[in-house]
Amino acid sequence: MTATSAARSGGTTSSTTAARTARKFLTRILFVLAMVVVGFFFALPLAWLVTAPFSKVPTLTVSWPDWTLENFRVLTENPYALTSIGNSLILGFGTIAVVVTTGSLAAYALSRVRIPGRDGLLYGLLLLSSVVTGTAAMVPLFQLMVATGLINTQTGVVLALSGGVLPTVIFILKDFMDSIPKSYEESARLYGAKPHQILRHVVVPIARPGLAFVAVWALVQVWGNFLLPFILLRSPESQPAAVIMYTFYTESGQADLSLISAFSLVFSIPVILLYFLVNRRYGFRFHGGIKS
Amino acid sequence: MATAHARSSGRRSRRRPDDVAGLGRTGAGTFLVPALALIGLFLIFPALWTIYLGMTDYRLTGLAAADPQFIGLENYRQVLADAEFWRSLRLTLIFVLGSGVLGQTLLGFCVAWSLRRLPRLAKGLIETLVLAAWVVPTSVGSFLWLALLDRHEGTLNWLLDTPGTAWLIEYPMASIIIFNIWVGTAFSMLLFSSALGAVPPSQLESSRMAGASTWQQLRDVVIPNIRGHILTNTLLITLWTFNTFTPYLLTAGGPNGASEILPVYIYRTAIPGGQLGVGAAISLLMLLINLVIALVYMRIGREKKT
Amino acid sequence: MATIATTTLVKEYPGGVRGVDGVDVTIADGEFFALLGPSGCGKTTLLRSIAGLEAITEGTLHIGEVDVTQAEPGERGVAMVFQDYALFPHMDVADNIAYPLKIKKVKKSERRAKAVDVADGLALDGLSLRRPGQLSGGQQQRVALARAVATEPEVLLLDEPLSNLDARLRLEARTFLKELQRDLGVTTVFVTHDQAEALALADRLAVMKAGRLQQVGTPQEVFGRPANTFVASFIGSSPMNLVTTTIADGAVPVGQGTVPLPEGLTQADGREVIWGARPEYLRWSAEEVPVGVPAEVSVTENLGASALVTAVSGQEKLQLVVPEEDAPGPGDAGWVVASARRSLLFDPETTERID
Repeated sequence: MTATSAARSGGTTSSTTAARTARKFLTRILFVLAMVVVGFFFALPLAWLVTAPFSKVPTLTVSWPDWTLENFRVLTENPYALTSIGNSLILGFGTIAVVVTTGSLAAYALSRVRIPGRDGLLYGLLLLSSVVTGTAAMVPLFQLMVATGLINTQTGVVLALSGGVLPTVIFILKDFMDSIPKSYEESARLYGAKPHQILRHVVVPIARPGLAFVAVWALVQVWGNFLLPFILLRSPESQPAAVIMYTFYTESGQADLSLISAFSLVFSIPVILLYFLVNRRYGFRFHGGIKS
Repeated sequence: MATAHARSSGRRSRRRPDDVAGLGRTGAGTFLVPALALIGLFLIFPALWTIYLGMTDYRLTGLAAADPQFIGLENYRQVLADAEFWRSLRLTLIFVLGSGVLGQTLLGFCVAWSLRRLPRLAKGLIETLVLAAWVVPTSVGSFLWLALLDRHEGTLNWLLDTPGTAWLIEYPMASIIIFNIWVGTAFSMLLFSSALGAVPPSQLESSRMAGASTWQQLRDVVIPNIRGHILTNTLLITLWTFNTFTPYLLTAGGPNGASEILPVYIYRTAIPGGQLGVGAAISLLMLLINLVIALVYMRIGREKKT
Repeated sequence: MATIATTTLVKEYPGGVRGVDGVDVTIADGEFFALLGPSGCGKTTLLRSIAGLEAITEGTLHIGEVDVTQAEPGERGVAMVFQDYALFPHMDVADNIAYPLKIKKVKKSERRAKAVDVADGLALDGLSLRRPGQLSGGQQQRVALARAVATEPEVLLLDEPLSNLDARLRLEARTFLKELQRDLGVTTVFVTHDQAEALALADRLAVMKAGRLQQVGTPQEVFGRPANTFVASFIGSSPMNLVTTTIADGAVPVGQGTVPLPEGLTQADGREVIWGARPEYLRWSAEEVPVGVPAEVSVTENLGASALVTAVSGQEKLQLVVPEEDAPGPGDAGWVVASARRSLLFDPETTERID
């Protein structure tokens, strides 16, 4: 012990100290540089979204905006733009409502009751959901909606989207609920609370950060989802923003950048706002951490 | 006497639920039903139906649309003999490895790790930027990249002073890989941030006191502590990347199929190509590949526990 | 208020592990009863079985005159304070205390009033609008107690009630608990791994090991006349001296000397026994004594008013507590003297006490 510490202090001459300081300084510079590059990488594409909507004549190049709101006036004149945002809200909040209620019930049961094959079931569904939501399920879903008369209805899209995101929702929520100490529920149970009361009074309030996370996550999924509403909703009046956005830059021949830039921003803002609001409030922690 | 009575089988058959919530199997079942019904109808049924469709000559238009015929494994034979399928599979693997496993996971971890040592303001800024890229709707995000990489007016060409470079045509795979890293890194960053927060500081401190370098701390303390998180993260990212359709919005699989990953290949076969049956068959192959990936991860996960 | 009685109570987990393995115990009305044992001995499982949080595999449980073996936890008239207190973080103190009343559908104004009332009684005045996170450990514990007693339970269960408090607070809380229990007169069962806590608080205690009861008795009985060597070494701030030896000449050879046979016992020469005596009941003599164990002091540990002396005699190590001013130093030679009234014999085969 004394020998090693003596050896160590003996080795620390002033020249190595200087070298060490220099190296530390250099590492720091490199670190800051790397962070700047990372920040720049993520910021660069986003710059257009912030500048173009406020330019008099938006181009694809990022340039300093003129801070005009003219493009937004163009947007309000478009018959589909604002209704499509409304449609996106309906789909988004409809899905959140379905997914959070059914998902938290299921996640709670899976978290607290030993059900044989539980993990296998969860993983199987998770796997399936990540595969089937894409192109694979297009045709069967279309046929199913036609058969049940849900084609061209918001309800149909909400249900189909819910089915797709539910496994992930359950997976994440179960993780949150696993991290809630069981003594809370046991305590409530001792005072005679029924399962539904325990859920309402204790589990849901405590799992609120998890529910918020899942709600926002689901909203982000739905908000940007293009394929399902594109297939299942045929009339432009009921189509959400993601579909309308696509028609804006494909169907009008020469892309109308005034419309597209303003619409991009309006379309992005609600979900970004909500996201950061919830993030600030609950600070997206994965509570106990997702266990595998 | 009381004991004898209590021990009788009649008593034991109506055992109380033995879980914290007092739900019991029946209660748990009731809680599960709504979610499972939705999943069953809109997830499992389409998946099963795909199996059936994959064995028919179902087409979008024409005779086979009205009256599809059962043709057994013919579609699979056709797909497996198709060079385009194998190219697509190769491209998908490159895409998943590059953008998912290496890109998102690694970058997400590095950002999460670095954020801990940044001042509040810088931390908030970088976190916001990374999250914003994730949260922006994909159709907007892809248009942003179309604008950035545009041949004539794109900001990237202006910045690098390389006018006329058509990035999406000359480097289609690199473009969609980088695009996907941009979109998805936030998830890994969030997950690893919380995982790193859960690493006991005492372990890090004792390894620092033992004189471990940053790299050694990572290897000996951090990684073992967050192994479960790394596995889950990589699994989810792999599956999500494998099945994402978004690159279509950038390159539409082109030029000449040079960025035609499997989801795009399925779409082009099934919808513009009209061969729904073949599309379903490829979907099923993709599902099987996903299954293999998931099983491998679960295997590794299980080994960890023993 | 009620008695608690179990008959051959068994809690078996899936896989056949028995947390509680055939426990028969009767706890009297109004008694303060401790379940004591090392971790994993089944004491918490037994407590949770009484609460109804664990389904009982075999046997019966009566609270009062009622068979509650299969009753739901909420139907048993029990209240429990958990080790982590389980205070709901999203409710203020008054709502926490009033929660059981909410389940019983008491009107909001009424239950808030009652909660404030109970809180005041537990020295929680003025805290009713705080969240649990804003309270000290001692306050949290009192809130948990308040919530438990607000229901006026027949049985109060406490799981390691003092383990989350720091040492100073623990003594205070101990006194507080004992007073509270006496004032309420409620039958109380508490679980602890700390023998000092059990001895100090309980009217009677049960020592458990591997899911089975080892001894049930008053603190005096368990301390003074442990039923077997496990209890003997588990109870007491320093464990009982236990020496395996063979009776010779009507006395007990220990180390290089002898100690007298315990009072009232006659044992045949040649019988193998375990001799036991608490360090507190052994004496140190610097001068030679007629019956004693010559020994040399190896370590002296200061305990404040007294000292714990470890003395070696031959192969044996004996520990004794002596008044601090008489404590010998390391290397000192002398005699360890045992009293016939205060020593015990155990059977080496069964480890049971020989009477």
